[in-house]
Parts: sequence; structure tokens; C-alpha cells
Amino acid sequence: MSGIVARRRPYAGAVQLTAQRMLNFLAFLLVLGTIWFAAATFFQIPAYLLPTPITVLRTLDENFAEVVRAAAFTVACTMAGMAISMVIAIALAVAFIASDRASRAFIPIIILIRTVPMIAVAPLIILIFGRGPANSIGVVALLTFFQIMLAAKRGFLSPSANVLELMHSCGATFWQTQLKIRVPFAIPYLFTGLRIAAGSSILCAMFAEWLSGAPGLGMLILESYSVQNFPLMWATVLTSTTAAFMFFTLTLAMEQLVTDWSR
Amino acid sequence: MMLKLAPPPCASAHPEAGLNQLSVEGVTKSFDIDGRTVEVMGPLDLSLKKGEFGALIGPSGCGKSTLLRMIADIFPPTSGRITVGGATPSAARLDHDIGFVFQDPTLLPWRSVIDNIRLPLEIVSKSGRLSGATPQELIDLVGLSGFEQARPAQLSGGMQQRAAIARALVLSPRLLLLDEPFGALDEIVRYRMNLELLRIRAEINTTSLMVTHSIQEAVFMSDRVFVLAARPGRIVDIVEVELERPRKLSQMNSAAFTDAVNRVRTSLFGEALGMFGDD
Amino acid sequence: MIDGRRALLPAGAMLAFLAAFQLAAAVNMLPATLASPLQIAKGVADSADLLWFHLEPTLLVAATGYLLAVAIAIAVGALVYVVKPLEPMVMTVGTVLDSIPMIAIAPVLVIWMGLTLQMRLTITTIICLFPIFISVLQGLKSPPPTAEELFVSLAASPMQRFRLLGMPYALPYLFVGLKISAPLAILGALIAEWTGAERGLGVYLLSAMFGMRVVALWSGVFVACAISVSAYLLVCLFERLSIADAGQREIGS
Repeated sequence: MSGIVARRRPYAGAVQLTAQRMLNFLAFLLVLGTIWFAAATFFQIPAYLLPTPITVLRTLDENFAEVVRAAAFTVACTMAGMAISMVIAIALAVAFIASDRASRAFIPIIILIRTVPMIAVAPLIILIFGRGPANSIGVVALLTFFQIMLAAKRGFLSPSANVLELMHSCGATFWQTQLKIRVPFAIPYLFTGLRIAAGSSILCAMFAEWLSGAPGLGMLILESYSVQNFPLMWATVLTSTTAAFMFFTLTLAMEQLVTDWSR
Repeated sequence: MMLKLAPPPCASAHPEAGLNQLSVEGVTKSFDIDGRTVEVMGPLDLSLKKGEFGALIGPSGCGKSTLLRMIADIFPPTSGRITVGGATPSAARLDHDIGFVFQDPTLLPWRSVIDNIRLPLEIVSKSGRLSGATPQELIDLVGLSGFEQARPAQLSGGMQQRAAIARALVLSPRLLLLDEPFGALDEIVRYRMNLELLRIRAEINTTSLMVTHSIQEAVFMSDRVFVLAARPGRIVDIVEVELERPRKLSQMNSAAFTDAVNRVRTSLFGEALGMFGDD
Repeated sequence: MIDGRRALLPAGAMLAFLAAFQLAAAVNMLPATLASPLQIAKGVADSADLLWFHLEPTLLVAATGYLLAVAIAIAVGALVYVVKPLEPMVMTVGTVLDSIPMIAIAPVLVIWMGLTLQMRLTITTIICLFPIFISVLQGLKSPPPTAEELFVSLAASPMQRFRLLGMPYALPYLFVGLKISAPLAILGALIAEWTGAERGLGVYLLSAMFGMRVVALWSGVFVACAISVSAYLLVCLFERLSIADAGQREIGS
């Protein structure tokens, strides 16, 4: 077999991954839809309780604007929360790299805090930030912060001793080393951390809304449930599942892109 | 001390098999790689009489490990016939007639040495097989006395391989297959392990087929060396080794040894030259 | 794991942090929604009986749900290990179910089971399940290829493969999942109570939130964090006791 492996375009992997996952998801939805339909008919579940997939889709179409507005709110809060936590997390990671003392002092605390599921703290966040978007952003930021910070730190520490010695022997300053070496090495780790955090971030935002009443998907689900508008509730569930899945797939694709690019 | 291993059950023995403990006829193997069918081996014929020690040697990609795994029924050949003691590889495997020693000792890290050797006994529920050598006897045979309760991580590579050999023998197999068992060891340990394996075999006399990269090892250990070439894997020469048993390291100076080694080498590199030359 | 000397610096940092907070409270510089460390401590001490009254059912649900999740994860893991073609399907189903927000599943469960203990157990189990399951699956794939071949050559049955090869290799991975899920079990119990319950730590927290009772809320959250961390540490201890260390020294040749 010949030795030369064809070079793939850097974004091919990411595109393929996204396409594959979306296809799988669609396939799953179709299967689920069929089972749903069959089960509903067979068990004669009352339509008001578990409407048929077609009813749900129609409801989605009718209330499109409202659902999309809620989705936009939730996604925007999630992204804002992740952005804030990324900035703070990276800043702290750099600080921990710079100061070994600070790292030894605070990292164990952070690791311990990380074991607490941040959603449990949600009532506190709601108390502090009130009932607007701020509490969704706050919950997401809190949740994603630890994951991203630890990933960033691991990434910054990943260059081998040889590379760092090289920089040192060239007389590079802390910031030069940081920017030229540590940051590029850290990027794949960062994206992995983002991916892990992204997995549940939309759901957390929705959760905060559920508890607090901020106008996002979470609140919409609660509202439609309380007025017994089940088709709308299911339509919203479908939308939020899709949104969460797409968000996660997006981070996976970005991670793949970055990994392929750095090769 | 002649260890008594359980005689092979007659039920699966084929009357017409004659003296051949292992018979490989016209075996080929193809793999599907990226949608293309690549024939990695074949057709290939090989046989071993009862009690014989065969060595398989050849360049990378000639399929020696693949052949061993087809004999052990880890996967089937694409075409051709393999019989072990007159039975198909599947029947032989399910009857626990085949012992396999991997290049990596593959001991379970959480079990002690003696528990590792007992593993096949735990898997087999038939009590008929237990009339063979006990794990303790095998531990003594392979020279690991005193290390029964040790964990694999506490043993060196050579000792782990001894335990793996003991494990392969605990069910008194008809056929012992060894896939470069000493490949990961350094040369000095390797010589010692060769002698150990020969000593163990002298007690038990199981038909054996060993894959190796070392020409010296192949000639020193075996009665016959099967030289393979690659692309596709096939046997290009069978070298009979006329050295007396029990083998001693001093025999490596003899003319018979050197001749055999030279012949193997020529067959090996002759083929290799053919690859680069005017074929 | 917890080395006396190394714990000094972070412990010191923590104390400094708390002291700063307390100082801010003392000079009235703390926002109304924050409680000072001393206030929290006092709050916990004062409401100890009440807190325990609410903590008890939460802990019960959390522990039971956790154990159920472990059992299900191992059972399904065994199934997928033995019937390999099932894996992609189970994985897809699992990942998508994991994406469905609990707040959507919760109302369905309420409709189905009512505001009962079963409903709360189900929610808790669902929340803990996925991380344990993923780690079991990953662990079952960890044996080296030659070990799998060994078991094939020994003609072991699928259950023997699972018991003698798969599970022991999977154990370290399983513990990773167990550690992640322990705090999630507490969370699950809280969410279950927020979905509908009369008693429990989640109920306590929610009522304090709506009633703007700052100290009570901070005390309750402190207790929730404390039991989460304790659950995690408990599993760590269990891991330490279960996984015996293999010897380190090389003996000879």
C-alpha cells in the first residue's frame, strides 16, 4: 500500500461530524415519532395529554414566533453566560500559571466546589440576581466556569518541558511564552472543556428560567403545562431538545475543526 | 519427572487424521479495507505431526499472527480448511484443545499468579479436564515456585510470560500456539526463556507452533521452520532442523545449526530481494 | 489524597476569604442578599432540627435513586457488552434522552405517577444514570485486545467475559462515574422536590427563596453543598477501600 495519505481539508472533519450527528438525530426523531404515534394510538392515550406528533408540529408552526422568541432568549443567555465564564476562567487560569502559590491555594478549593452541582445553588442565584435574564446568565456562567477554568489550566500546562526550556533559553518573558506557546497548546483543551460545559448549559439556563420565571424556553414549558396546553408544551420540549443537541453538536464540530486545524 | 497431562478425549479425534495434529490446507484470508478486498494471505499449506515443534518466520505483513489466530478460531479463514487433532478450529477451541500464548503476557492485573493460571479452569465447567496438571504443579514446572501469590505487576516480563505459558497449558491442550512470546524480552532473557520453554515441552510434549522474528530462535526451538513471504502471505520454504533433543546452547556452534540458519536466511531475504529487484 | 501539609495553603485561603466576607458584613458593606459566614453558621445551628426534618427525605430519595441508577447502568452495560450490535442504538437513545430537559420530563412523570415518592425516585435515578452508564461502557471497552482474544481462545461464555474480564477492567472507570453521580443524586432529589413535594431540602430552599429569607436560604444552600461534597468524598473513600493496590516492586527475572 502506498505511503502517502491524502490530506483532508481542515474543515472536512467538522462538517462531516455535524452532518452525521444531525442525520442521526433526525433518524432518531423519526423513529421516536413513529413509536409515539403507534403507542398513542395503541394505548389510546388521550390526545390532550400526549398529542400526536403531527399535532405538535402544527402547534409549533402556529406558535412559531413565541417559541422562537423564547428559544432566542435562552440561547442568548447561555452564550452570554458561557462568554463571561470563559473570560473569567481564562484570566484565572493565566493567574494560576503565573503564580504557583495562588494555584496551590485556590485550585483545591475550586475542585471541591466543582463537586457541588451548580443547579442546587440556583435558588440562591435567583435571590441575588432577581428574576430577569441575569439569573440565567449567572447560573450558566457558574456552571461552565469550573469546567472551562480547569480545562484552560490543563491546556496551559500541556506544553512539554522541552518546549518551555527552549523559550526560557531564548530569554522569553512570561507573556511571550504565554502567547506564543501556551495559548496555542491550550486551544484544543479549551474547546474540549467548552464541549463538556456546553452539554448541559442550555438545560441549566432553562432550569433557571423554570424556577425564576425569566421569559425563556424553561418558562414557556412551565406556562404551557400550567394552562394545560400540552401540544405547546411538547412543541417547546422538542425545540429545546433540538436546540440543546444542536448547541452540543456545534461545540463538537468546533472542537473537531480546531483539532484538525492544529494538525 | 514426567508430568501427566490428561489424554485428549477421543470423541473429537478424526480417525483419518493420521499423525497430523495440525493441518492447514489451502487457507486464504482477505480483509475489506476501505471498500477494497485485500488478500493478505494464501493459499497456504502447513502441517504438524503430534509432538512436533514448528516455527513460523517471515517479514512483517506476511500474516503469521493472522494464521495463528485462524488456527485458534479467533477469526475464520476466507477459504481453505484447518483441522486441529482432526476437528475444526471451532470444535477444538470449544473443547479447550488449543492453548495460546500472546506476545503480551496478558495476565489479569488484579489476580495473583496462581489465580491467573486457574482462570481457564474457572471458565471450563467440565470436571473431566481437571485430571491434568494442577496449577501448582505448573507453577513449579515453569519455575515460578514461591510466586504464587504475587501480582503480575510485581513480576518481570520473563516471569509474566512463564505464567502465561503455564496458563496456556493448564487445560492440557493438544496444540500450543505462541505468538512471538519472547519478542518483548531482551536477548539474554530470551535465550533463557528459550531453554525454559524447551524444558517445559520436554515434560509435556505438546504439539507447538511458534511465530518468531528471530532466525536463531526459530531454528533453535523447532523441528521445522516454515519460512513465509508477504503480499500475499505464503510459505516459500520449509527447513528441517536436524539437531538432537534436548537442545543445548552449544549446538548453536554446530554445522547443522549454521546450515539451517543460512537456509532460512536465504529463503527470507531471497524473497525480500525479489520484492525490490527485478520481479 | 488529603495530605495534611498541602491542605494548609488552600485552607488558609478559604479562611482568609471567609474573614474578608465577615469583615464586609461587620462594616455593613455586604449587599442585602448575601449572608455573612457567621450568620450562616448561626442559621444552621438555630434551624438544625428543621433542617434535619427536611434533609431526611431528601437523603433517602437521593441514596435510593443513586443505587437504582448504579444497578440499571451495570445491567444495561452488561447487555451492551454481550450483544455488541446494540451499542450504537443504546448510545444514541441515551444521548438524546440526556438532552431532553428534566423540566420537560418532570411534568410527564407527574401526570403519570402523581406527586409521589416513585415520581421523585424516577427523577433522581434519571439524573444520575447517564454519567454512570457512560463510564461503565467506557470501562467495559478498556481491556486490551489480547485479553479479549484470550477469552475467545478460552471459549468463555458472554457472562463469564463480563464477570471475569469486563467488570474488573471497568471498575476504575465505574468509580469515576460514581463520583460524578453522587452529587447529582442530591441534585436529582432537589429537582424532584421542586417538581412537587411537601417536605425536603428542595422545598425548604424554594420557600426561603420566595419568602426572601436570606439567612435561611444561605443556610439551606450551605447544607446542600455540604452533603454534596460529603457524598463525593464518601464514594472516594469507598473507592480507596475497594480497589486493592497491586504491588509495586519488581521482583526478579
